[in-house]
Amino acid sequence: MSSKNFSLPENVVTKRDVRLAIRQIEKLIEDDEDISNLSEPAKSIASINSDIVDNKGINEIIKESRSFLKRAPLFDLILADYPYDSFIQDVGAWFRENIDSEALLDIRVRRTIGGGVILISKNKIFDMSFRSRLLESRDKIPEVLKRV
Amino acid sequence: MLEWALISLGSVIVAVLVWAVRHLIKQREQAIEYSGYINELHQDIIKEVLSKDFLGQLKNQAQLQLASSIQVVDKELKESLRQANKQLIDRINDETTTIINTDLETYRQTIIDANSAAASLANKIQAGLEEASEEIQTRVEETISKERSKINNQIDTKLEDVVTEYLIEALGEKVDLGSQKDYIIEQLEDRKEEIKKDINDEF
Repeated sequence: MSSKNFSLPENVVTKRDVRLAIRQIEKLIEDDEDISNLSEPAKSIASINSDIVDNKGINEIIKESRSFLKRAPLFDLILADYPYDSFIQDVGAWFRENIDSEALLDIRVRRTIGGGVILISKNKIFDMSFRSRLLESRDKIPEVLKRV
Repeated sequence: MLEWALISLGSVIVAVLVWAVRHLIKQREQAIEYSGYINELHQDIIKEVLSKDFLGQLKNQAQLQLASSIQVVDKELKESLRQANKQLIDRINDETTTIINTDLETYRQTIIDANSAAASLANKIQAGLEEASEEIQTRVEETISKERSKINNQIDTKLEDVVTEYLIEALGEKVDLGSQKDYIIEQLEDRKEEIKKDINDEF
């Protein structure tokens, strides 16, 4: 089976999840444990790619996952706090639907941005944080202060 | 016979010798007489020549001739001196004029060279001043620009610090990302095309 058929489930949208899944599967093979012991993301990857597992074994999933990490477009998202899983999955779904079907996210936290998001793409930084918005309107700050 | 002949010849010879001596004595006497006459004549001539009147006349004539000669010579000498003086003056004038003209030409050329050098130097100084002025102006503008940029950066940094501190203070410990999700997706939606272009290397 070709690697083109390898895919990630909707709930696996971060680079961290894929790496964690690879490590878990490696440990599973090493310890000769049952697949039911895998975390939810790893289990989902194995499940959605069951054909590969059946034909080439679980090792092929590791290989395909590593290959996926190399080719997938990666987007760093800097947020003001640690997001809930649903938040990550909704944003990840938006990327896969609107930007690239194999998009992966890497979530980082920086309190100082106040809110919003800073997106680091392949070549550019898209600063959509609150802090940035406030500083863009810095000319209005003295007026606001006067009014207050 | 022979004796007689010899005696006769001897007598003739003696007779001839006697005649010759007498004749010589006579001629000597005549010569002495002539000599005296000549001496007398000589004395007469001397007396005549050296007489006071003659000498006076001769002196007068000589004085006249001398005066005349002196006048002529004086005149010639004066004329010669005048001409020599004139030539000397003309020569001096010519030489002086030549020297002065040469010197004046040298001075004129020197002045022209000095003027030219001064003008060139003035132009260089002017150009240097203009260049220095432009350089100083450029440096001043650069310095002002740098200072302005530095102050702006300091203000920006300070403002950023203030905004950051304010956000941290205002938002507290926890940020409600759930309430921001729609806003974040909306922002991503606004820049969707830019993001797509970026990952496709279309920038």
